[in-house]
Amino acid sequence: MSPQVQHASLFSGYRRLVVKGSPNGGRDGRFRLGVPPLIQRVGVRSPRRPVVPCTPPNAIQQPKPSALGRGRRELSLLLIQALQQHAGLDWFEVGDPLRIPAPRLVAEGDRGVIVLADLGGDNLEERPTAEGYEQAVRILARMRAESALRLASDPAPPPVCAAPPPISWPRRHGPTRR
Amino acid sequence: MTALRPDLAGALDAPVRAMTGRLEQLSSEPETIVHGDFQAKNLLHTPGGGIVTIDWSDAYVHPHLGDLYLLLRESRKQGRIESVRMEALPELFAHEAGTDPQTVTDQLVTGGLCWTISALRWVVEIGVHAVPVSREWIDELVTDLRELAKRHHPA
Repeated sequence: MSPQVQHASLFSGYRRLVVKGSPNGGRDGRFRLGVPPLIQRVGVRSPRRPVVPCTPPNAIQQPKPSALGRGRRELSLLLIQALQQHAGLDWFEVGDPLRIPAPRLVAEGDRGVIVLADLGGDNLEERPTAEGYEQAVRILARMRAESALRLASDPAPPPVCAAPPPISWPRRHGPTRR
Repeated sequence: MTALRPDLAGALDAPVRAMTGRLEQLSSEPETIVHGDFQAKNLLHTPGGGIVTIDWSDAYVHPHLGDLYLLLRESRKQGRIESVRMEALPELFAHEAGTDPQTVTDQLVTGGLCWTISALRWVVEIGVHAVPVSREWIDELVTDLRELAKRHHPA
């Protein structure tokens, strides 16, 4: 069964993406994210309501899955793309708003199906190179600078954690006073 | 954690004092993105010679520099890169970020405390149930925290 994103909410305080199926080739279920509020705050402010894309488990090739990494990587590829698009970031059209190199969309099929770039290659743990580490450090510095700039120019609204409004009991149902 | 490891009672006193001492300083620094798991296994080589970051499920907004701390920590453990090149990375980061190396050195202490406390909390609250082998990481994380606390010099 191809996984389907049933619900993704970035704009109403939810931090939840509900996926039915097995996007990671493993367990079904619900996946909680820390990414949506970040995307909401750092990204552009033009939320729209696209078809939230998702991908069948075999859409992403994983050349050398590790025992712990398997699934988590696929899920991450799926989620970062889905969330970016859902947040109206138009990642694929305007370039790289966060200046974070990430997998790219290479094809979009029927409703709810996307194919992400097969990144191929090894990770830096499997093939450590000094140049790779230096590139990672540059990416980190750039990413932090860009995000700090965006956050400073578009500060987050104060947290919505106000005390609940006072309860106004209808007279006939209110607590009785002796 | 004491319920899980009674022998470690009090082991986090110094790290907690150090972290508390750094909170005010941290609050004055600009918020930015923290990947949360910025280590070699989540950095992929691309055919063009670049690096792509994956696994953003732990990302959040915060000023601390735990990402760089984790990258350096894991690479030192691997020990597969020439140490001279590795030890130059904080300076490279300082250059790229437009700050001075001493500031980065200090940010690495705060970032290290933040990342390690988060990691330890995950192990104690979730890891020991979900990934039983993570119980073996506790001692190392506590040791790291105590070492980081030693590098904290109260103003």
